[in-house]
Order: sequence, then structure tokens, then C-alpha cells
Amino acid sequence: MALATATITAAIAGMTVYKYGSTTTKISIKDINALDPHVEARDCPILFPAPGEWKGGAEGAPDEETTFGTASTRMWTVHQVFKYLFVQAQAGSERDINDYYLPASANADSIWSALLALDISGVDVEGVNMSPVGVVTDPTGTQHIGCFFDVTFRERINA
Amino acid sequence: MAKVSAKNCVVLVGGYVFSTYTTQFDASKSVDALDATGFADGSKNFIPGIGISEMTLNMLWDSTTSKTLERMSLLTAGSNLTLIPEGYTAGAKTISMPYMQANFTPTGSPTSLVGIGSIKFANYGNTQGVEFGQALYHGTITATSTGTAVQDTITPASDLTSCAAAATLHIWTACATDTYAIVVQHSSDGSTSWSTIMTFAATGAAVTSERQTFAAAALKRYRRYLATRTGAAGNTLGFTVHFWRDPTQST
Repeated sequence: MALATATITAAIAGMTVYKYGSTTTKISIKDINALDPHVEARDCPILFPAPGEWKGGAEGAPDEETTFGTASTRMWTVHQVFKYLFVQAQAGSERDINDYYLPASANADSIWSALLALDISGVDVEGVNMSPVGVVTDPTGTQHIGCFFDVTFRERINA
Repeated sequence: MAKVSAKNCVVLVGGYVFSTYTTQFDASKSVDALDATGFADGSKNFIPGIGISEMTLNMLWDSTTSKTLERMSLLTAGSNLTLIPEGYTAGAKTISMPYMQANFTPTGSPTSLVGIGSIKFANYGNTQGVEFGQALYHGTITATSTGTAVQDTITPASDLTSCAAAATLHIWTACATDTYAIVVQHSSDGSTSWSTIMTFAATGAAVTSERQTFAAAALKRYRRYLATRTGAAGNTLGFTVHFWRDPTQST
């Protein structure tokens, strides 16, 4: 009887998402043990667990039990939200927004597609919420062009 | 008034514990109302017809051996369905019925688990239909065991001069080599003069369920099970005993 947080983050980190315009170079995707407090230009584009707010709050609690029996064996359905930060490039590294926007949105689309295709035993991707592509800030206050992904998972314990 | 969640409900179907495969239960006991209205009656007048009992379980799919797909696809007749809605304690209320399974309807959708649908169980045989009784036991033993005395809780809880009863046994963990003789006993004070009123044929050698009846006669207010082991292996026997008596009897 356990939630599959580690399995989920490992699966996300294992996704293969190619950079816009390439069929060989992948977007860097980090696991929870590789939170990136400061994104360097050479790391981009990159997707990583949003530091400090990666694991959702209220939605992280079990909200439904679905079968009968003793507490340790009955089946639960649990919904969890994980927040990821996608950074396309540091703000100001290109001449204007047009240089960021197409690759950023295309990469975001590819990440979205990869998230929907995640196939984890006992876990369903229930929803993906992407913030507008624009200026985002990393934990050190550096501004980047990117967006947040809130990914909602439904987990079945003891299924 | 104590309000109780059904989350610990125990679901037993023909000797199999399917609590964690069941998402909902419904039990229904009703009676036909026969219209006997005659001229000059002040309002419509009904008399009771024949009783109708049925139970329904919503269950999940499990294709491994002895789980829901294998067992429930058999459309069994002549087995027993017992629920302990509040979870087991000695004397906990039970709902039980000998059944014939009327349907098997696997279901699924892209966003849900595979289910086996809403399984309907209809009363089987010349019985009382849905029985509302008490649990004498639900657990495991490895040697000869005497159950806790369970007092009748139907008002008045006293010895009855003539009352029919029935008991249902579910063997859900069978023994490899040991066997057991399992009986139901009654007593007036819960501590002395126990005597056997029902004896089960099942020996614990196989997963099964069985219902025994007690024809209307003197019935004492305390009941228990007695399981006597033959053999020395110390195998685990998992079993449940539900006891019901005619609730219309009060003296």
C-alpha cells in the first residue's frame, strides 16, 4: 500500500522529448533528485520539478476509497498534482520574443504529448494544465521564457 | 445513534472474501402487496403476497486464479452471500442470503478499472430470503477453537420457546491436511451448558460455503461456534459464521 510518487517522477524524467527542429537532441528532463535551483543558458531547454511547489497540496490527499475491507487492503483512488517548470531559454538571450516563441511553444506541445502518453502501472494521467508561455522565474530570481505544467495523476492503491 | 461507515464491510461470496473487489452493495427484502380492495372499503386495501429477496454487488475485475472473473463468471446457484457491513466484531450485524447468480456483466471505459458490473443475486431455495443476523466469527484459527458467546440482540434478547434459525459458514482459507468439525452451539447464560444445534458438513478441506437450518424449537439466547481439529499440522483455517434466527419470535 503505497503511493507511486517516485515511480511517476522517474517515468517523467525518462520521457523522450526532442527539441524543436531536431530528431536527435532531447529536451533535458530532471527527476526529483535533480531540482535545478538556477538554470544556466547551456541547460536549456529543460523541464524539471518546480522547486518548493512540485507536489500539490490539497489534491495530494486520498479523496476516495473505492472498495470494502480492512484498511490496509482496501482499494483507494488518490489524485496528486505535480508541478513542473519548463524553461526554453533565459530571457534576453535572444533579440526578441519571436526568437523564443515558436520553439518554446513547439517544445511545450511535445512535452504535453509525452505526458499524455505516459504509461505507468496503476497510475493514470488525469489532466495536464499548462500556464501561458511567457516569462517565468527560477528560484534564484533569474527570468526565463517558459511555462509551468501541472500534471494530475490518478493512482490506484491495492488495485 | 451511532452512524457507521461501510468502509470495513466484509463481503463473502460462496466462501471467497471479495471485500476489496466490491465497490457497492445493495440488499433488498420486500413483499408483494396484493390488492384486496372490495366495495365499501374506505381506502385501497392490500394484503401481503410472497416475499422477494435479492442482493446486488458492484465488483471489479481480477483475472487471476480464484478471483472475481473466474468465480463470478460461473453464474453459480445454491451458494451463499454474506455481508458484515460494519466490519467484523463478535456479534456484528450480518446480511446473508442463499443465492442464484442472475447475471455477469463485465464493463469498462478508458478512464476506469475493468469491472464485472452490477451482479444480481436472487434468493435460492425455500428459505427466508435475506437474513439479518449476527456474526459468530470471521477470522483464522490453527487449532481447536471455541468462539466468543454472542448474545441475541433482537428485543427481547431471551431464551425462546420455539424459534427457527439458520447459520451460514464460509471457508475462505482451506487447510492442507488438518480437518475441522464446525458446529454452532447455544446456551442460556453464555458460559455453561452449551449444546450443539447445527453441524456443518464442510471440514475446512476446501473453500466453500454452507447453510444449515434449525427447525423451530427451544432456542437459547447465547450462541457460539466450536471448531474441533483433527490432525496436528496446525494449518490455518479461515472461516466466517453468520447466525440468523426468526426475528418475529419474541417468547
